[in-house]
Amino acid sequence: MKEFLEFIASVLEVDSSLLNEDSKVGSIEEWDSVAHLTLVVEIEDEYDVEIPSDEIGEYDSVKKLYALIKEK
Amino acid sequence: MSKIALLSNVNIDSLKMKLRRNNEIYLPQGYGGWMQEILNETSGLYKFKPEVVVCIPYGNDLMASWESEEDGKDAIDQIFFAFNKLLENLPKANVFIGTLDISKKEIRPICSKRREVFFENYWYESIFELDSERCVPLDIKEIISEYGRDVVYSNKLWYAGSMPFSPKGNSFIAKEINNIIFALEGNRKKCIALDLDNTLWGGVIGEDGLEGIGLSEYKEGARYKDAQKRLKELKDIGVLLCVVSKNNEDDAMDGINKHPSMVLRKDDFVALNINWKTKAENIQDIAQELNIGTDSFVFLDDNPAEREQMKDVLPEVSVVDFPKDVMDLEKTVIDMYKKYFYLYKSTKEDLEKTKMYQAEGERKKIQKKAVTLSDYLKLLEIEIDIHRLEDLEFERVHQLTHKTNQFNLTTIRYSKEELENIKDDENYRIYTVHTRDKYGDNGLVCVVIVHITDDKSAEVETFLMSCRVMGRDIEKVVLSKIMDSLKNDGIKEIKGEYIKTLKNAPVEDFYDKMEFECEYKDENTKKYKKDLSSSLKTEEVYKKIEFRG
Repeated sequence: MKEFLEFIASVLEVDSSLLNEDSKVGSIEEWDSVAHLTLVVEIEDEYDVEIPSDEIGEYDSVKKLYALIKEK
Repeated sequence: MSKIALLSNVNIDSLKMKLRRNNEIYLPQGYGGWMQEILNETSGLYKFKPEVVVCIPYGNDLMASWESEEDGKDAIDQIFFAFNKLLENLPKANVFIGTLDISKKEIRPICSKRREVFFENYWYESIFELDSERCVPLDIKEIISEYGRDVVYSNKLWYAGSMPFSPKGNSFIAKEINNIIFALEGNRKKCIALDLDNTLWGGVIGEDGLEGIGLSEYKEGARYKDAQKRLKELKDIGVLLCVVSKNNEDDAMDGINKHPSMVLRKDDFVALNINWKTKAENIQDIAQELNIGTDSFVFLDDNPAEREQMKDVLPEVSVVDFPKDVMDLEKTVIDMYKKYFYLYKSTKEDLEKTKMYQAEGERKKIQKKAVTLSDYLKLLEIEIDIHRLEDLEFERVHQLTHKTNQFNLTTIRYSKEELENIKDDENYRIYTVHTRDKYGDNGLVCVVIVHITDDKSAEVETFLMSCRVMGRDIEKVVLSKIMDSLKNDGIKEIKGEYIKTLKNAPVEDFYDKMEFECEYKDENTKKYKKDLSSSLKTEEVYKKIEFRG
């Protein structure tokens, strides 16, 4: 989990201490809906998962994204 | 940390994410309003006062509304009219204009002429027609050609957020932007220290012999030859090359002088340190010989142990990651160019740099022979030419105000705009100094900017000199000639100032040596003045001194 949080932080270009398991879109200023799109594509590349275009909005939190990469 | 404004016809929020860690970024709110932002002089763009404006066009979206070639041409003309306005409205900023890439999406017969190519070229030509010193092409098209549209673009981000570029694409573009800013700030490195065996050629010359090393026109040996070609081009734009190699000198010099496929020859190097000392020691020796800092070296060596040792002993030297496979060596050299030596525009001095530094080595040799400083200076047969700034020298003078650290009394970094204003202000005089000696032309090596503050007094605002010619008392000749000339114009008193920086300790006593009187002193500054009734005495050791005031 820690590693995953650090990955998200690196994509958002923020310090990882600003994020935790409960973070989601809007929790911090840098993680807005536009940044979220980039984040989703970066997660797809890094963890080799696929999030269909129509479902990007549903994977809107650390928890949900983490569950997705763990499922894989 | 630069103030960068990003403009685009599409959403480039994710490019902002890649740049914001090292820069302050302005990105207009809303979508596609870049032209309004430029044309409205009260827009947020102008309130932000950017140092750099980056314009990123997304070709397919632009072209979507162009019915014909004429139509597209008109639209591009309008966009460039706006870019022109942008350059006018921001007289100090550098404006990066992205090249255009248009994917061939329209369904057409194979044999129909594609208008995308026409638009790309018309856009490209328009960038160069802007004809401004501050307009910089940002070659997005080249990035896309290299990595491919599948990698640089993202359909998912385009349809979900009107963002055409993928995270990777944005990283490539951000890297190019950072490289250009680094180059514009004058932070370039100066010298590449090269290993020989398995770096400039394949194999070990001491064991494989002249015929056995891998270096040839085609196939495996061409991997080294192609990399050498790029290194030679770097040398041609003013990067210094030197060799630091553990080898028997005779073996190595055989390779350099005699191998038919060698591109780089003896004369391309400012120093050839082929011996069994450590490479760090050799770099320190070369740095001292050429009078440059070890922090201006970049080190290329295939041996990881050598690279690690260099990082340990001289952490200020930039160590290049050698490619895993030598087929990428040429690309490594090209990347080195972009990262450490990116050059916006070359000056005459850049082109002749290798020769000048080689001559420096010769000078060091006679210095050892001469008994006193004046003997040495006489032997050098120095000629000094001092005159007011000429138009062709502008670029070089600007460059010197940015990169001179050691012999620089006030270290004022002028923007082109500021320098342009000073040039046209009759209360300022910009003097340039050229020197040459027995061993060659040193070029433009010294700049003095004098501010005439009133009828009776003047102030030296900038006094800087290239470290190449330090230690020859040239500064004294220059100052004395300028003082005489000011005196002739009725000026009674001259002032000077020393502002301390991390690097300019060598000149902290400059004005004391010039017989100025110190009138104020604190930790970081010293202020001086001198009555012009008496002139400075200089030694008569120079072959020729010319002054045109």
